[in-house]
Amino acid sequence: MANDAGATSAATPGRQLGPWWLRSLGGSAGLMVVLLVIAVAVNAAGSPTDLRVATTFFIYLVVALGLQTFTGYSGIISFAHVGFMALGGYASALLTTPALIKQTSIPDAPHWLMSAELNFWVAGAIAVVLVMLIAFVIGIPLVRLNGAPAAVATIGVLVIVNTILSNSDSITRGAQAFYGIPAKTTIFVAAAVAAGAVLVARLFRDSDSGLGLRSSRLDVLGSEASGVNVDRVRLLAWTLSAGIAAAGGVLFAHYLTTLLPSVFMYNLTLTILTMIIIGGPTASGAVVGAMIVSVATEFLRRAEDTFSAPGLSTVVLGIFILVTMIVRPSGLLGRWEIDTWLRGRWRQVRRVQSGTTTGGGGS
Amino acid sequence: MREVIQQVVNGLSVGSIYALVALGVAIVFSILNLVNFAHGEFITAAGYTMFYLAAGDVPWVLIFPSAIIAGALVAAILERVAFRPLRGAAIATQLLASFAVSFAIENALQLSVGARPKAIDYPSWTQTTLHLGSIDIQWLDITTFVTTMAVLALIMWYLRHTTTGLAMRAAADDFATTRLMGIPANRVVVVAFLISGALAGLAAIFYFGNSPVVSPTSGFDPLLKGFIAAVIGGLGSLPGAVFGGFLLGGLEVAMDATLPAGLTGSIDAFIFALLIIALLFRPSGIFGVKTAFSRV
Repeated sequence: MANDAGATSAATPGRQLGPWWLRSLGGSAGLMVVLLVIAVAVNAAGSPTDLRVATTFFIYLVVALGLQTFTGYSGIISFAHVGFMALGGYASALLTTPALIKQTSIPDAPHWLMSAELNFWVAGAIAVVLVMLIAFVIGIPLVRLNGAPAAVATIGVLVIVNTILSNSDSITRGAQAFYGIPAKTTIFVAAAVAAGAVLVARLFRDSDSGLGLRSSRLDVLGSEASGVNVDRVRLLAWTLSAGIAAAGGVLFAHYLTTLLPSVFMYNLTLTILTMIIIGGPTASGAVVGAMIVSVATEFLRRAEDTFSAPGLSTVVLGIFILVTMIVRPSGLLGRWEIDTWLRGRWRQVRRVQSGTTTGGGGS
Repeated sequence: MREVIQQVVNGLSVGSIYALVALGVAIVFSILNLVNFAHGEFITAAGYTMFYLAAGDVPWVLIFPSAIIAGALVAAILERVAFRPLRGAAIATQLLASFAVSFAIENALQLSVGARPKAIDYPSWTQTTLHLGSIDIQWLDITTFVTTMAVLALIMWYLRHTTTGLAMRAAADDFATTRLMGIPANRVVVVAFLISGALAGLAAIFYFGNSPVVSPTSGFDPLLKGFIAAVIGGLGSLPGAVFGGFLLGGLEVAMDATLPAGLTGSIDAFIFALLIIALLFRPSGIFGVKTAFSRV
């Protein structure tokens, strides 16, 4: 069953709560409020470590929501999104870093790039649009692939992005660190972008295209037979998801203020994939997964320091994925958005209550 | 002319290694639809086995078989611990699980034996060359190619003329029906993993022969090449995997010889770009018969 929202409304015909987008808005509002409350609470009462963990959580959540929008809804594993994140980060970094710094760090760059000192939001928007354009072009051949060949081809995208970034010495400083990026990602900026990403991911999920994409995840031929243009909805999701991942990359760049191409490779890919797999293929799933992985990673990092055992967190993370997959192959939240699930539970409870009353009265 | 012949020999040698890795990946995929990222760890395991045995002055007659056994053993263990509970799950789920397993093992190795690369003390004959007139050919390259050909013939014989081989080919065609015919699923799958791991072990012998240092991550690069080769050939097709391996080896050597020096570091990116373009025209590879779903 692909359309859980439709199924719930079909089960209770009298309880249609307005058009789908209004229900998506209402459904994501809860999550968005939770995210903003976390930001306010941590900012007011948290230690610097809490602040770092929370901000990193928001940034990774944005990337995870991007990956969710493609991989979670289409069922095709993508390794490319960390590459899109890198492109977004580098694009925004190049456009905002003060010309004075760029004169020493990348003296051979073209003049217009050297003198560019754009506003953070403008540069971020340009970066996102640019990455979406790139993703659209790459996506045209990629969306025709299914299953394993698709996954291997997306590894190709990641490798190509990494190779380009690490060899463009005159623009990105190649394999060396690109430094001097203005620090603009406060916890509130990160939380606001994350809340926006939740909304976009949720709206797309419940839209006709999202519905079609999710049906193709279960049966490509079946959904094509039902009138879904699978290539088209995949390309749409691919482009949109690359944009969200790029936004995450922009936040990442302006949080760390230094970028290295080698950061955006398999390790980060594994972390982000873990987030969406543990949570399940919904926007809420990405939030829950990102939260669990962020907190777990922080504890494991401390354990690594204590026992001086680098790599311990990845070992545990790997086992974590394996166990989740064996125990709950569809993620902790399964295929439900958290509000749909809660509403279903609530209705169930009421049905049971009214059922017992009727039964009691009858006998 | 001399240059060309040497590059051809080089390409056949590199291609042999990729063909062995790709064939191992394809054997498991053909039956389980599992894209096994942990296949690289079979190569790493064989590498460390060779390092420790060579450091302990064990004769090489014993080390080479041990490397193959180590690969097969790790494969069988992982099948039991990680992949059997996931059998029948979606391709994406299994792929991700194997990715996670691969990373867990890599990092576990880093914790236990350390991240620093270790030099394997290969026997001196692997460095010697055969002089044929003006042409110099590494003995290692000859051994690699000849052994690979012999092993491919052996596997072909096994798949065609033994009961288990027949069962494996049947399982690759339709696993569910094969089980209904009374073939024990676990035996077929375990044998597939054993062969897959043994092929990885054999590939490791030749791979590390060319660059004799092993580190926790050294299996990843040959694994990626094996994937590309298997996808070019058509995932699930065994002849396709072998063909893809030799094609990739040849392509890589040709690029290495012809590209300007500044670009040789980007060969992987070029190969992936070619792969994506090739998939545009043949989404299921050259010999591809079986995709994620069958077109009606």
